[in-house]
Amino acid sequence: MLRFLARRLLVTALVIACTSVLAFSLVHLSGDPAAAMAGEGATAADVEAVRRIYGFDRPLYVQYGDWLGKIASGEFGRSFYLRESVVNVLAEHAPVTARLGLMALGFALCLSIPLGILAGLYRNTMIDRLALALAVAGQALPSFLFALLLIYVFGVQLRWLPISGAATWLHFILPAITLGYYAAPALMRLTRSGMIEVMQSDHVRTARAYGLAAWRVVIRHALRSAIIPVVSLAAVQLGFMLGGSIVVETVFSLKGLGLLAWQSIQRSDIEVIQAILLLIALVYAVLTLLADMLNALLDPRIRII
Amino acid sequence: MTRLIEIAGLRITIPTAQGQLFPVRGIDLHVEKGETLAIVGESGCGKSLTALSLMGLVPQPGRVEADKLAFQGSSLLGIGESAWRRLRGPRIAMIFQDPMTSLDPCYTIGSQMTEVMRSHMRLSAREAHERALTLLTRVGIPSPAARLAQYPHQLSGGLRQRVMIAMALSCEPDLIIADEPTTALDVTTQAQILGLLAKLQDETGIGIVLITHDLGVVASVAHRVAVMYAGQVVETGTASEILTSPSHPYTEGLLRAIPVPGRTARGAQLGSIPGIVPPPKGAVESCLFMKRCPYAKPHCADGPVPLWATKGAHQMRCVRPVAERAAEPGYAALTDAMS
Repeated sequence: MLRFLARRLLVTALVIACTSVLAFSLVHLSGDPAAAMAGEGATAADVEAVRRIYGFDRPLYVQYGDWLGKIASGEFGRSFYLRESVVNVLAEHAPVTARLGLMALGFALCLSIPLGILAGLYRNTMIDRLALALAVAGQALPSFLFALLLIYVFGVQLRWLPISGAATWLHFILPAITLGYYAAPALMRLTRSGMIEVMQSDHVRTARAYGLAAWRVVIRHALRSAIIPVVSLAAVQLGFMLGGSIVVETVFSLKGLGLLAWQSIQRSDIEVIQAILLLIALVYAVLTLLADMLNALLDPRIRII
Repeated sequence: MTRLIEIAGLRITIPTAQGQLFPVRGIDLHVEKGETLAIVGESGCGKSLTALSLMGLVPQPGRVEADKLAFQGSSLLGIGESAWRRLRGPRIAMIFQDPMTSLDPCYTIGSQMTEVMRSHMRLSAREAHERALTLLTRVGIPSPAARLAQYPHQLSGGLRQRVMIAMALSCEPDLIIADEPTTALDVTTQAQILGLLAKLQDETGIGIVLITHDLGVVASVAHRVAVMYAGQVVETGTASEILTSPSHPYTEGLLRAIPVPGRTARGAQLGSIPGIVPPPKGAVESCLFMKRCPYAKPHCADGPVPLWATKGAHQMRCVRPVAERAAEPGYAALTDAMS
């Protein structure tokens, strides 16, 4: 298990290193950074001066090393548009998205796993068809439309839930349902097909042939094998959600990472974009690592690799 | 004394979009206490389904009907799922063909064994663990304590099959159904596993239903044999009767297909049975083997052939007695024609 962990950590480090190169090159890919900083009316001499002051005249690998060193010591620079340190900007936006993403995943799992199990156990029955209909609807309905529908029903008509802002956790319910419902179908279908396959496997037949209770056969022996690909997919989906959903955050006026990323791109606020990019990469890498560890706990055969 | 297993007129029907399938069409079998009955036949002859019907595990949408299906005198027909659960494990245990996949890869050997025991017996975790240790020792697994903490993938095929046997014994059943228990194992391990089953039977007086297509396995452990073909028992008798003086042409064909060291010449054509098994459809209106039978005569098509006693308990399902066929070349003519 330790060797497995060490190897996975190495891969994670590599992924983050690659993303850091990409994030760094963003400054240079988007044109001459010195010219951009000097502004439109600057003379060639001014641009040269800016280039020297900010060190853009040095070789790229020196600049990269310098940038990496700063990031390692927690200096992500300042947002030139918001006139605030990037760390503070992120600290304001990230928790909103994190809360939204976790609640959305929670909702998606609570919906998709029981439905997937039932659909798999009672294949081609009414339950299966209902689950399929729900899945198709979830996949086909655009998020913004579903969001507006939820707002209309639960916010405007029934007045049960707040529809805008991030003041209390109640404010997160509707956005989390919107985001989670979109993620649920894939998880449900994967659970279903996994259950169908594993229920026909030899070890489940053994469990039944030794008179174990039905729930033990389904939960302990079947689900544990069937859930492994679902864990991997859920990790990717959570990474996607933690990257921020522009649509959901816009509709529900949540000041999250998705909104921030979108605004920063429009403003060419490169330092903020770089930081978000790195953060998302880190989140993805950590989630994938966690998913792999969880799967290794579930199935001992994975630990050998 | 009541028989351990008594089956009469067992029929299994599977409804499909293309009509009804009849993989098992009227089977009579019985197993006495302490006896090993081997059910022999090729793939698809219904031998595994017959065994599964004794466990209530015939897969959906298969339907089981019988005139009698009794275990220790009590009927198994129409009993509910919870009654089946109390039977599976403590009364009838099953050993499967592939020890590689029959154990759950996600749990240790110990966890799986104790789970079964604690589902059926009042045992503390510690008692179950102790019992698992004893059982592993009994089935000849070295360093049992270390094995209990291991996962199935860390064990060899032979060891895993021993674990399955230990698990089968764990709740002290009266009957073990072994569905091709040695097919996935190499020959040396096969012999060890069969020897172990025979030894355990001597010790406990357990009844065994052994499902196999390997007549070598039959020769080494079975007391009685039922040869199945296309969902019917075509011949039944003691193992020595069946192996030395088979009376049904199908059994004869099976035995001719086995090379005998010293007797079969090097490079000689091994016996084979031409043709294919008839599909399990429609009513039985003739001998089901006639199209492949070298002894077939027109009157074989006259109607279904009943099982009839040739000598004592030796029964078979061929209209032509052995004496009548003896002068004909039979399979020898087929072999000559091929070579």
